[in-house]
Amino acid sequence: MIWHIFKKDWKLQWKFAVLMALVQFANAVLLVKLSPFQDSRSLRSLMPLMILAILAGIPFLIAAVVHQDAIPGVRQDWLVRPIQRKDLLLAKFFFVLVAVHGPMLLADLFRGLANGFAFGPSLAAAASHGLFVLVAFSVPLLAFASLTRNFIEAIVAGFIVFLCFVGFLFLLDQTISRHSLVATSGLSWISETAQYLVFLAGAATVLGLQYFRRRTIAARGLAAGAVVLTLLCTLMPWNAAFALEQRLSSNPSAGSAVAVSFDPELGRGHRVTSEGAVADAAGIYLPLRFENLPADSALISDRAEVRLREAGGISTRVGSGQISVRQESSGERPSTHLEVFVNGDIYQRLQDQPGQLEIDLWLTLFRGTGAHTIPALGGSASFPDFGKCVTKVNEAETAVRLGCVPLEEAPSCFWGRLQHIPSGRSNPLQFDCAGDYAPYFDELLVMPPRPRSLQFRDLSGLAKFPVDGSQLGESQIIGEAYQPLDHFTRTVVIPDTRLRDWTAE
Amino acid sequence: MIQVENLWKRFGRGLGGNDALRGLSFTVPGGSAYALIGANGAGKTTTIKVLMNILEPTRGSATIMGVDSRRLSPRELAQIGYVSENQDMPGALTVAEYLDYLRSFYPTWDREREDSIRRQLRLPPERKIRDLSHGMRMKMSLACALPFRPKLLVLDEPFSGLDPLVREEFMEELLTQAGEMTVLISSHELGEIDGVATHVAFLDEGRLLFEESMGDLSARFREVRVTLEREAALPGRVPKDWLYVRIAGSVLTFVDTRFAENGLGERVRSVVSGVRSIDTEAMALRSIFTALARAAREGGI
Repeated sequence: MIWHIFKKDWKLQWKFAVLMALVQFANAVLLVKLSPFQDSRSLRSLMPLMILAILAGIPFLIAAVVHQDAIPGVRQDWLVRPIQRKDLLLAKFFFVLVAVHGPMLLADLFRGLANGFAFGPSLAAAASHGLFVLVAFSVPLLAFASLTRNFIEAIVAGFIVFLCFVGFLFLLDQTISRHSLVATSGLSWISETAQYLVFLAGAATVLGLQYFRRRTIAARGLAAGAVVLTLLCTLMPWNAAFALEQRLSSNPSAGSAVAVSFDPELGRGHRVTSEGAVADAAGIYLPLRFENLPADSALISDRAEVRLREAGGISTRVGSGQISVRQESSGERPSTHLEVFVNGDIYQRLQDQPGQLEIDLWLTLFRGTGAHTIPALGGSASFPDFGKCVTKVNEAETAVRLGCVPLEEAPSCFWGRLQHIPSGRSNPLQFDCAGDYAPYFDELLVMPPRPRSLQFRDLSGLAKFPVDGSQLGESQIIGEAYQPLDHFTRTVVIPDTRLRDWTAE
Repeated sequence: MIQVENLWKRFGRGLGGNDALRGLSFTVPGGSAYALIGANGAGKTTTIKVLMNILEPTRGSATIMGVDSRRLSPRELAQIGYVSENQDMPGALTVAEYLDYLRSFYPTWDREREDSIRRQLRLPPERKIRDLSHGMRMKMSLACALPFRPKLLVLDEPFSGLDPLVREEFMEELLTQAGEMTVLISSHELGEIDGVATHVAFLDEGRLLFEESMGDLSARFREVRVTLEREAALPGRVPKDWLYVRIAGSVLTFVDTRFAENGLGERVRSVVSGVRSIDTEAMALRSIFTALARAAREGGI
């Protein structure tokens, strides 16, 4: 009977289903057209529309098919028909697979093939993306729709859930430091996975309650509980999440020898970024040196917390910051300043207070996966970690753009530089490293890749580059991606100091 | 065929809650045409929705074809036809498409019978259900309920809002199959069930006032007119089975709910003296229910 119910639903919803399939396919074409440089402004402006159409259209399509045989209510004709509840549920699920995930799989497959990837990897990437969307999005939506009897109810309920999320996030932003949240770090996949699991378990229970027992009030209560639990997953304890990430390290002992120390010889730091700065905050820059980093590795902090312990033993949280350093194959020990923005009131109170600064670092060590090269002009090559890459000079003729289209996700940690091949001269290395340790592709929508720029000319004339525009024909880009190896913690103590000593020069 | 025992259904909770059914008990014999009668809000539709497992009872039980209504499975539902004025069918499907959809769910669906019923009821196959008038929709509902030769046909206010012609067509179709199945019909229109029902149950505010076969009901109700020798006042003690007792001059009238030709004179004379004559008149179903409803409101039954 599953097929029979499906045919009826298809007869009623085929126009909407075909429209959504076309939207998904159009989105795939748009992504291909925009890759890798996102040059076309008109096409770029279509992206938000596509995202909106997909994010709104798919829930509406799922709700529409569920509401064909709504669960709540006492007037539906199906209630008095000899229809197996299991068949009804499976028919709706089958419809979602055919009308939503079928086109999604084909669109993702098309995108992979059109970007030059082989059929097998393209199909595998499309299937894994589809599976993620099914678990994290479609099944919960199916359950959510089963709690309502029509679009109006679904929209009102959806709006309430949305308000809950926004209100909770606002509250969170006002009360808890962004840096202490798992959800805003490279560990975010852990809290997100917990949320998806809550969603999935909640959705499965709701579907069971609705389709086999028709207990709408109980199911709505359960759904509300699942939403609250999902929100609470955002508050997952940092140490627990980090401990889990440590257990999942690909090489758990790789960072055991790494030492971090306070190095006053580095002097006071310079204010280099305004990221994270707030109007009444004071920036302090704590000089740190790193030792025993393996060759060709990178180290970033997933979290860095600074507190001041006064002579009387009173400990006050000063603030948090972020560091990333890179160890070249042959080179000196890397160092950096930990930039911390201190709340104005706290700074005013503690700036001259003598005490001991304690820095807790939660660190991740990355390993290079091997450098790749590509001609700086008109280059085209394929790399396993970056995907399909091409190069070209930007419109202002100040930088070489490196555009790479990965099959799933671009590496979150990499370096690149422009090198003149005959002379071996190189422009300053560009190092961009952010943690993202998700073991699976966890994005609902595939976004166009972000091209990288390697500068060779400064329009103001202030900076001179060893490799300039005239040498681009004989130049190449060298780049390397990093993979996380190990996660560990370190604590650095700066004795007898004051905050005022470490403000920017 | 149907057994209902101490059935309660409460909507809402606490003080704001409302008992739509209050300890309902009745039995629908197999092969009967059982009418649930009562004013709007009496609990007829709630009873039927509980029987069909659309609503769950708060207390008590209902058994249909030997199965607890809460456990009705597709096997039982394949033998039950249901027609209601509150039935949402997929409006975007045509008459033919929906019949085609339903056909596969019923192992006993008779295609020829479907065609014949559709023709008889003059249902346009290509018309979308949402474009059908209320009367046509009721006919559509009946056309969906009969082709599989149900053992039980449940009709919830089937004639509500139907014009006389449609009602006639509806009844005609229903009567052609009436002998093959048990029919449970709810209505607040007494005329609708007159000549159709073999049994009747009267509901008032969620309570069952009585259930009886139509034959027994007609036999035991009489409008009685007693002419007295002189003007008299209302008797101080009136038997419980006399309803709507009135006196005008020397004429006493009442509705006798335990009418028996032989004992009437004796019963009357034990209440009033100076009886000159007693006339009785058989009552139409409508009059019986009016008398019962009035008595129920006045606390007489």
